[in-house]
Amino acid sequence: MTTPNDPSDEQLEQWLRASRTLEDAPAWLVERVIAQGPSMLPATTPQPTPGEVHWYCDRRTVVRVVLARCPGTNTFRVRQLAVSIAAEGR
Amino acid sequence: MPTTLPIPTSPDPCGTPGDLGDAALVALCREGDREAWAVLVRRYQRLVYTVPRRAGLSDADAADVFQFTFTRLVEHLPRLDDAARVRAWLVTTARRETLRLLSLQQRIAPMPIAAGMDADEDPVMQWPDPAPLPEAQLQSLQEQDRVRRALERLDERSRAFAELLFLQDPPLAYAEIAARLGIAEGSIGPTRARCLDKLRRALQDL
Repeated sequence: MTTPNDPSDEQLEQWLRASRTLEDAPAWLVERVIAQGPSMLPATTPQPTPGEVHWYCDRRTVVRVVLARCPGTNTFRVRQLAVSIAAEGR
Repeated sequence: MPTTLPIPTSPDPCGTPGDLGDAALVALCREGDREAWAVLVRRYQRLVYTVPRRAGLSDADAADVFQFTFTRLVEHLPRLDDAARVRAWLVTTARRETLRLLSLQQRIAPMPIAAGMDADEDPVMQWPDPAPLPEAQLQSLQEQDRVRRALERLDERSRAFAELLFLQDPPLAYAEIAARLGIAEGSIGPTRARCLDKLRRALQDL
């Protein structure tokens, strides 16, 4: 199923006019489905705090990691990772 | 000279789900992110609800299809191979359930959908004539919904202009649009062109 990425003005206008017949679901129905979803989703993980920067060095390799700690735990998400490898002999 | 290799990571867990693409949203939903789930449902509520309504189902039956479709999505999240195509998956599932309900209403032998059954195994999808919802119509619905989402991303003035020019039924005269927006009637043509350009760019960012 392809989606034109560069539609003409006429195509855009046609889609817009046709879209008048799209129907919004009733608000109560949307809210019900939103409310029911999480009970079936996996358990929510704790939300991480802003990042903590850590540096690791090993011979020619330097690693910079920005970790986000999940509150109240010793688990982290990796928000950024950068690796620098010096050329041999330097 | 050291070589620095920035490595892209998964979506920033502290980012705003409303700005994320479908694949990133689905990834967050798989982790149990409630906000991402709400964004995903709101993003596609109009499209999913329109499928059964377009086939002629009642409000109550359309609500059943809507609920069924999103429930199936939750169940299917871990197995969704191409998360970026969640929109097409939702439309296909809504269409399948719509056709099933239509078959019941038309007293055709019911064909219950077994849990875990894929679309290509579903007997309803093997029907030779999916007349109420042909593929071309579903494709068209997706484009219409996509352009409406892009419209919602425009600045307030452009959005108001497009709504007056394209979404009124019956269409408004240029003089009426100009009066409502406080602009010269002669500027509507150029404004229309700029508005469609913005809309095209917004579509590309979706």
